[in-house]
Amino acid sequence: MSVNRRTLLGSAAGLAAGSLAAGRASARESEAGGSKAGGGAPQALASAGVITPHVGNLPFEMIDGVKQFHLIAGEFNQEFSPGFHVRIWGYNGSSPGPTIEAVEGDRVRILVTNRLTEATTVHWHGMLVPSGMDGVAGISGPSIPPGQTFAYEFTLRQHGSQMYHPHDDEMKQLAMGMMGMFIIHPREPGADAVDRDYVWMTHAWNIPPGTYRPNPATMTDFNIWTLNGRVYPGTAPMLAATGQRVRIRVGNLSMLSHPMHLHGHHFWISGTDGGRIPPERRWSAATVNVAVGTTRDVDFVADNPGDWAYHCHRSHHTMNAMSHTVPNLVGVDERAAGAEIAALVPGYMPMGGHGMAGMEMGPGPVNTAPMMAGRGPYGPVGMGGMFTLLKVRDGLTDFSRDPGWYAPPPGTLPRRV
Amino acid sequence: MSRVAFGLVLLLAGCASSMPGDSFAPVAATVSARTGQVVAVIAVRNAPAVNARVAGLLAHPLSVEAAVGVALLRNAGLQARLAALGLARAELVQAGLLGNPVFAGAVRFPDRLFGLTDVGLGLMQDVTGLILRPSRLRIAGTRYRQAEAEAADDAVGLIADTQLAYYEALAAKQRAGVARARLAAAQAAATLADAQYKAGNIDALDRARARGRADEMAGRLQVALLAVASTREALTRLMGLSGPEVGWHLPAALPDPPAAMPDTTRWERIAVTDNFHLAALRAAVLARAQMLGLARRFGWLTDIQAGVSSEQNPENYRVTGPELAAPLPLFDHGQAARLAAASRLAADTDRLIDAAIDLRSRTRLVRERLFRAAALAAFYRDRVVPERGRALALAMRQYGYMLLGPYDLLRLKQDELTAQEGLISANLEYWTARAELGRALGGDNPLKAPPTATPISHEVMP
Repeated sequence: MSVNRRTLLGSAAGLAAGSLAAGRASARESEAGGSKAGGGAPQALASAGVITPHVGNLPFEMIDGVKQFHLIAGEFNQEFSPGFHVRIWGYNGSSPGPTIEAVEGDRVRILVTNRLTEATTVHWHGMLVPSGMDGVAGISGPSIPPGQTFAYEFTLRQHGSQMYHPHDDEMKQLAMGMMGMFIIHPREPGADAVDRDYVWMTHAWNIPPGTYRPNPATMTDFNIWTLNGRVYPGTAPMLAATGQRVRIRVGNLSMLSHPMHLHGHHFWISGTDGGRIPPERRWSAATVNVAVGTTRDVDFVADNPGDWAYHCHRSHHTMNAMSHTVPNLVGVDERAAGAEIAALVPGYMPMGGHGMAGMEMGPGPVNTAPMMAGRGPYGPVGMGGMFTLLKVRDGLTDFSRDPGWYAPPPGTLPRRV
Repeated sequence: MSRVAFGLVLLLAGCASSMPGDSFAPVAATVSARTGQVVAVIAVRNAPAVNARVAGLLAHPLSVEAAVGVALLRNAGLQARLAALGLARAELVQAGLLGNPVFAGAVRFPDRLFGLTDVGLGLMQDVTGLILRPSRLRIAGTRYRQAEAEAADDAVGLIADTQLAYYEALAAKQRAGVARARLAAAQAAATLADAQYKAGNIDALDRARARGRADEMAGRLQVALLAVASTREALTRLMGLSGPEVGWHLPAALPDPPAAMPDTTRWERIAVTDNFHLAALRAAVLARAQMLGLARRFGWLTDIQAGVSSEQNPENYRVTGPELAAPLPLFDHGQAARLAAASRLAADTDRLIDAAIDLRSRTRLVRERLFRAAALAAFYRDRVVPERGRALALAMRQYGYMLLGPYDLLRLKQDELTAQEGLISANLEYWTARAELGRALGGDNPLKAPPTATPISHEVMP
């Protein structure tokens, strides 16, 4: 634990952003590559931009002093991990939808086109909007019928990490993936500015293996846990050069809370869906629980080079498709039964007793992600779901590609004794 | 004298033709032609040629044709029933015989010393039998044709029964194989449950459940093995085997029903024409009609005797003259006999109608069974069994991702075995229906001909 780091984080003196800004912008664009965000040409933000891996940010057009965004609600296929395609709902061909990024005080107009087969609304979660713009079906204002485009328009009277999602047939539309982040930067970021500002949304799905569409009726038995609509090993790593200031924003519209844990660093809990927290009221932690319907921002200096796990600490949330009903075979001598079963079921091999991570999974059903996957320099990773890496490297300048595996300096690996 | 000679010839002729082998020859030819099986009276049960033939038929995994062949050679019950044909022949001979003349003599002695002895001689012949002989011969001929048809029905019945027993035995053997696999699957689950229990991963209740299922399957296997034994012995009995000949063995599985069925529209007509049970009843009705005719014309005619008698009377001269004894039909002029004959005719006519309705229905049912069972067998063979196999293969992929456990795989294996049981039952239904078809059609087998129409597939399944 570094007192220096905390001091740095808390102090305006350590956070002069200027010289790093140019490099950051280009890296951000490439990391957001693959975004299916529609609408007009992207325009530069007045303040530092966020990075929404796999998803990207929503472009806007400036029209008579109003930032105009365009969300298109619809159904599409999304690849959660290589070979695992899911037919879901979202915005602009993505779930979560592209991040809307603006600055406190902006006047924004969000056009919402409904290409679903049912009515929808957009609720601006945690945002201080006029009542009519709040998006609760039947109460706040009109729902958007299929095929029509409605405009939401309001002035941003706050800052912080907010969210958007439907408030019409909400259970189904949320379960099908309709959600996104709405990041409002403070007008004067000042000491709060960071070098790398990552945005993630968590979500829980029930996609039985071999199926292609989430079951929206599920309330508890979820089996797929995503970060920005991807499962490990399909999740992109976060990158930082040693010494850079990093922010990770997480929003949660799933039905369970997610204690997000970062290895190798402590962070300051610096923001909630109530906005940025004044420096003197922030607290330090290695895990932040992101409850249902909330967002959390954490800030830290990436001062510890290496490959660091970043994941939800509910261990089954770092697994892919799994079963709740497989028998407990830990410590069971399966030799006799294994031989008897193999005589009846060709190709059968006992697999329960030797630790799951050490095992290469056999051929599986179509269209799902193996419960645990990934291979690192030292063997199988045995992870899935809400798991990714923070890769901190000395002198890193190219943020457009994965720098590969960390090479620990001599004397920093466990040794056999 | 010439009459005596004639009677002797008749008697000898009766003896010669009372050998059942001779009597059965025409029937055997008909049945053999229809069934393709040699049906014959076996004079010497253990003749070397018969033993060699039986040994040859039993040397291979038993085919249904071989089982029928052995039964026709060895089934003593059939041979006993074929002997009944000899009885019918004897009755036919008897009907042609006249009653023997009756000689009567009487000597009466005088009650004085030199009186003359009275000697009376008489010869009486039954005249009724003579008058009725042509009618009785006709009736006996009809009865003989009835006996012939009954013998043929017995032979055809033995063939069908042997085929049924053969298919039942083969199905029982297959079912025992499935029961053995079911036990193995349940036992594997119990073994795994034991290991889980030893590791402290399941409680005694779960282990008891797994063991209970395995024990249940062990019990079912015993039931299946009992069925193997009883069906095997049933076939052994029908084949008339004992001693070292009981060691025959069956092939692995019932064959698939053929892929197509011939034209079935004439089956009912063939049954009515060719079924031997019906033929026997028809002959019985004809005999009853002939008997009624006889009763109507000659019901009053009973026990007439004609003859000649001679007596040396006391005046010492002889008196000789014809003699006739006849009941006078004053009270009993045969009305009861006519009523009985009419009633017997009516009853046998109704029996014939009943049997014909029954036979037509059974023939239609056999046709339905053949169509549906062939379709069902194809459905199980082409759809259900492969689907269950595919499900197990897909489950193996889920098992590979730890989405399913070993117990799930074993349950799906049990499903696969259930499908195999369904296939066995459908095949058994088809082949037993086919055996019944032979019985209904008097040994005719329209399915012998290459199928020409109506392809069978599970697509006809509802």
